[in-house]
Amino acid sequence: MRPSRVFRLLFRIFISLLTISVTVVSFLGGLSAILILGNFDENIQVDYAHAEFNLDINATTQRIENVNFSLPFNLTNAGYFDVENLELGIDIALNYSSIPDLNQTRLVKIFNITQNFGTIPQGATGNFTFFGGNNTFLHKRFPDPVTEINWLYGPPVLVFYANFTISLDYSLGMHSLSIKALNIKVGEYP
Amino acid sequence: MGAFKNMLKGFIFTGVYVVITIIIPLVTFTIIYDVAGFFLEWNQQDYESIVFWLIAFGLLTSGLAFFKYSSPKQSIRKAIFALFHVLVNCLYIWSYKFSGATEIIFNLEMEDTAGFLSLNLQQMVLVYLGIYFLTIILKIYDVIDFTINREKIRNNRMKE
Repeated sequence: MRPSRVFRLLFRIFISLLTISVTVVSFLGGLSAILILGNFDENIQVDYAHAEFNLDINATTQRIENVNFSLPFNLTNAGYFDVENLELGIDIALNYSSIPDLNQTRLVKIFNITQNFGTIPQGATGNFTFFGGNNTFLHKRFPDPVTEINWLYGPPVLVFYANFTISLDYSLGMHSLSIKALNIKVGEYP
Repeated sequence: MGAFKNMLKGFIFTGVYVVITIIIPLVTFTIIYDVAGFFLEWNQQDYESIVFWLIAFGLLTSGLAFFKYSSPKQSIRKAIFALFHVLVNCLYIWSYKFSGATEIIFNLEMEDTAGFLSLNLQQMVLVYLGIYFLTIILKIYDVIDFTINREKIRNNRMKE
């Protein structure tokens, strides 16, 4: 065999090994996604029931003094590789009856944060709590409680809805999974 | 006899490529669309777009497979067709990305929650394209090697 052919053969073997490795990793990654999602209720637990939405409005001035949000969630990595880049993104919108159009409700986005919770090793369960403090809320978007909110509407006068997005990378980032839950009521006032 | 053998080899590999690049993916996507269609965010147009590009590049790659595998061993013709074949294979794999086949979105309807579940395989396609890039280098190497050693290869072929 010519030396150039020997070199080619070695390079060919290297490419073949690379292809086989990537194919095996892809296959196991796909299988892992099935294992995680197959038992969705146990492996991905976003505890909406224990979500806490605290809104403090000063009774005399009717100004918002403090607002915060927390949500506990667990994720069990039932697959073959580590879950990487686990992120939880939450949008919260405030629904209220506005003063100029008394028969209509308005929806304004007051919170939009994504937090990264890092890596969950293979077989482990990650217990996390998403927390959004007062300074992470978009205070400029809040309607003026005195001039813009119709307090005769309701109760509740203010209703908070959230969209949740959990995203994660798997098998060296070759599989990206994203789960989105929409329009979940997380709080109301009063 | 050698020419007939090469032609036969070409036809066999064309058939293999038709099965691998058209029939298996087409059946898979049709089953996904028919069985899980209700839960998928795909519409008829998305499905047709995926199938169109799949068949278009699948036919190209299968056609080139005939010319590649029916060419004599270590000939410049084979090296050039092999290079084109790899390039078309890259386009075929890339077609999965731009046709939307690499992002599968399922509708989630639970008790009191509505939402989506999306599985994105674009990174996987890019990793495979990286491997194909190495294969392109190998095919270019073949073209140069077969051109430089043309006489030697021809003499060896005569001896055989």
